[in-house]
Amino acid sequence: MMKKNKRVALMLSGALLMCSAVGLTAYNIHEDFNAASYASEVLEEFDDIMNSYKEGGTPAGISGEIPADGEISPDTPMPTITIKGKEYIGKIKMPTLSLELPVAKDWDYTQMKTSPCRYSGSAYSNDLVICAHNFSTHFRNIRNLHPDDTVIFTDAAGNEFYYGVVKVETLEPTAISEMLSPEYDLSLFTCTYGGSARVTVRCRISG
Amino acid sequence: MKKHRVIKYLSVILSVLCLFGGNVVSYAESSEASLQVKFITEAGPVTDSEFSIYRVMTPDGKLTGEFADLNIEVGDLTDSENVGNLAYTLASYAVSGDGLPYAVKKTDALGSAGFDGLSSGIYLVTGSSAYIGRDMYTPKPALIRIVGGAKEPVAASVKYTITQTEDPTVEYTVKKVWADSSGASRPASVTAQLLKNGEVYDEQTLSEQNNWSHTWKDLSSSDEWNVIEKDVPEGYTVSISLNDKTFTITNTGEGPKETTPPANETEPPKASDKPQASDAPKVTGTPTPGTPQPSNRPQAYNVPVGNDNPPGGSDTQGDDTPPADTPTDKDKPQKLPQTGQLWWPVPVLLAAGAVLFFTGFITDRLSEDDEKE
Repeated sequence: MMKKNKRVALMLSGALLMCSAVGLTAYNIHEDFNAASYASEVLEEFDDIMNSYKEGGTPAGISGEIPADGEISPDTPMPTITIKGKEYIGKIKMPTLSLELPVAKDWDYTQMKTSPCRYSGSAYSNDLVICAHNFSTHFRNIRNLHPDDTVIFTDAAGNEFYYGVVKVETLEPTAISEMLSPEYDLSLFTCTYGGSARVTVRCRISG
Repeated sequence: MKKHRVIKYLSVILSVLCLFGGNVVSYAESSEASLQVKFITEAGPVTDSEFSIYRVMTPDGKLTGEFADLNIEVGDLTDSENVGNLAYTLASYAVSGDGLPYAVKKTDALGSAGFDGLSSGIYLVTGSSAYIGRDMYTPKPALIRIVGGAKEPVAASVKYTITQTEDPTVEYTVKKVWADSSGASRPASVTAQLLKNGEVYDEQTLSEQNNWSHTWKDLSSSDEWNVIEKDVPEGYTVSISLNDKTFTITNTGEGPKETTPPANETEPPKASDKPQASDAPKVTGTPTPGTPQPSNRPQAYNVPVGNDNPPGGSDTQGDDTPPADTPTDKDKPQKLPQTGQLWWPVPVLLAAGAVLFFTGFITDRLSEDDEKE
C-alpha cells in the first residue's frame, strides 16, 4: 500500500491543480468583466462626443477629415475619437446579440483586452475587418449570428453603415489573405473556444 | 548515483536527437541531383515555357544567397498554406531581380524541362505563362526539396492557373496587415511596388492616410503583375499572398530591438534609415505608369492572373506541399491575432486534479481501514 506521505502528496497536488483551475476561471471572468466595463465607459464617452457633433456642435474631440454626408470616398481615412488616450474609429452594433462595442483604430493585444479593434480596411472602402477577444461581452457570441442578421457600424462622425450577415465560417489562424477577401464589405472575427481557429462573420452592405 | 543515471539518460537522448535531427543537414553537399519540371495542363503539355530555378534555402530550411537578406517570413514549413505563401513571396522578389536564377530552361515538346547538377537544398521553381487558344496558363511558384546524390531525378509537375483574357483591363488591390503583438513599433508607412512583367511600374505609400490599402485600376490583363514591399521595416519579416485580385503584404515581428524614436506620423520613414534589403529594386522617384523601366534580367517568374482554382490543375510534387523532411520554423508564426481567452486548461486542470486528489483520498481511506483491522 502507498505510504502516508505519498497519499498526502497526491491529495495536495490534486487540490493544487483544482485550485489552479478555479484561479484561472476567476481570472478569465475578471478579465471579461473588466473588458465589458471598460468598453461600456468608452462607448458612453464616444456617444457623447459623436452626438454633440451630430447636433451641430464643434468637431472637438474628433480627429481627421470628417466626410460630409454623401461625400464619403473610399480613400478617405476614417476619422477617430480619442478616449482615454486611445483612438476609436467607431462602434459596432449587433442587435440580435444585444451587443454594442467601440472599435479601436488599430489592433494590438493590449487594446484588444478592452475593445474590438480594426484589423484591416475601412468602412468607406467596404473592406473593414474587425477583430476582438472571445470575451462573453465582446465577440464570443458572434458565432450565433445568422444570415440576414443586421450589423451596424457607426463611424466617429455618426455615419451609419448597415450590413447583413452573409455567413459564419471558421478560418485557420494562418488564413490572412482569406480573411481579407474583397468579397465581403465587413468581416468580424474572434477565436474559437480552444483558440486554434477563428470564427468569422461575413457581411455585405445592405443600406 | 541517481545523478549519474540522469546524465546517462540525457546523453542517450541527446545522441538520438543528434542522429535524427542532424541527418537533415548531413547530406553530402558535393553530391548532385536532378530536377525534372513538367508543365502539363488539361489542354496538353506546354512547350517553350521558360522555367527558372533558384536555390533559396539550405537543406535545413534557412534562406540562402540574396534571399537571406530580404527579411522574408519563412514560417512553418510543414504548413502547406504557409509554404504556398512563402513560394509566392520568394517568387515575387525573384521576379523583381532579388536573386539570380540558378538555371533557366524552356520546356520541350513534352512540357518538360530538366535541371542537372543541383546540390542539396530547397529550390524555388517559377515559370512563364503560355497561351493555349485564348486561355493563359500560368505556373504557380513552388518549393522543391532536392537531396544531393539521389539516383532518380525529382519529378515536379507544377500547378497552374488559367486566365481568360477577354477583359482588356484588370484592377489589383494591395493591403497591408501587421502580425505583431503591439502597434508601438510599426512605421508610419510602408512602400508597395507594383511590378509589370518584373519591372517596377508604380509604387505607392501605404499608411493610415489611405487605410493601408491601394487599388491600381486599368491595368492590362495580358501583362503579369506582382507586388513587393520595398524596404521591409526593421525588425519585421515580409510575406506576400494573392487572393483573387488582392495582394496582402503581411509584416511579422516586433519592430526594432533597440530603442528608437517613435515614427513621425506625418513624415514617412526615409529609405536610408532602414536596412537595405537588397541591391534591387533600385528605383529613383515614382515611376510613371505606362513607362516600364528597362531591364536586362531574364524573365524569371510570371504572376498568376485570375482563377486560382483551375479545373484540372495537375499537381504531383510542384505544389504547395511542404518540402519533404524539411524542419519546422515556428519561431515566427504569421497568423491572425490570437483573440481567445485561456479556457482550455480549466477542464484539464480540474480533471487531472480530481483524479490525483481522489486517488490519494481513496488509498488513504483504504490504508486507514487496513490499519484498524
